[in-house]
Amino acid sequence: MEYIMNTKLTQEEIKYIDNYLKFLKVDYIDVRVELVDHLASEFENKSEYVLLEDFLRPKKNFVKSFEKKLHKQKHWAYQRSLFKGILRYFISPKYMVISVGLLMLLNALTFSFSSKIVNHIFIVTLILPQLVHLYMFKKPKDMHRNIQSARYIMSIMSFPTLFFYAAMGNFDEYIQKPIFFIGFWFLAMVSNLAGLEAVAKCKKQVLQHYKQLVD
Amino acid sequence: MANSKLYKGSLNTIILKLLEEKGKMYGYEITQKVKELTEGELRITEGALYPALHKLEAEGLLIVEVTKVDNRLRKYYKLTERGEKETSNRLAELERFIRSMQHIVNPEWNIS
Repeated sequence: MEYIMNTKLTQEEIKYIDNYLKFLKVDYIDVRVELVDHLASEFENKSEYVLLEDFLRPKKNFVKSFEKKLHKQKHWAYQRSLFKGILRYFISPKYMVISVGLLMLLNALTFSFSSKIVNHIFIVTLILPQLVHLYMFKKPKDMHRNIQSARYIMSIMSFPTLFFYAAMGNFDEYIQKPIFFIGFWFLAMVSNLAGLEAVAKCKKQVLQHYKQLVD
Repeated sequence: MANSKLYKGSLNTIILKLLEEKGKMYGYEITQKVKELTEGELRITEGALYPALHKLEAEGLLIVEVTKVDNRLRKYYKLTERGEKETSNRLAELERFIRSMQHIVNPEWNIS
């Protein structure tokens, strides 16, 4: 099939580009939307190709590198957002008030209850943020299925999860050194709080920017 | 076409400047606008443009808006409030750089 240049592609031709991207394993709609529009716009304005198939063939490397670079940038942008959030608890006056309050609370809990109760509270405070995060990630369900940016919301909490794994089975050892234990607990709490804050912020952005693709 | 290495460091500033002028633009439109403004001297490749756009978006300087145009969806980029401030800073920085280069290359020539 031949195409007349500088005319708009039909719905069928747009679908053809979209299917080509699916064939190249570009699964997320937000990525495909941008690629389809770019490839369609270029084809509509370029005179050197007559067949859409011929035009798309040399674009394979661009498509592959597009997704790869996007993945890298989004992942690190979200991780930066988490670490900036953690840092705020140490440098921002508003957040430092929360930090001091949190340290006082953890100190009071550690020294006021038996180690068994403290162990339970400790575990709950590490698990609860992960559950909240999972709930935030899963709702609405089309968000993480369709939008690549939403996929990285899941990875924001990977660092805070490390505190949970580090604490598993080591509680008895940690509680022997209360100052170390309070410091560890405080860092875990701050990381989890900053993580949840970053998740909420990123999710809000994704839902705002890609509203059309989630609805 | 000019030496692309000379332009490489200014790609983000070029994108920000265009968005400041036009309000919102999509990827392909940016490549064509740059080609048009520089009379074909500078051609931004798709492989360089999109990583730059995504980086600026990740830095919070751009926001995106998905709109239905003709028979497909289009992703537009717009400056955020922070992006507007950053554009002014980067343009001033670029202007200072051009002045400095002029002093070296052609001391008698003046930009203003």
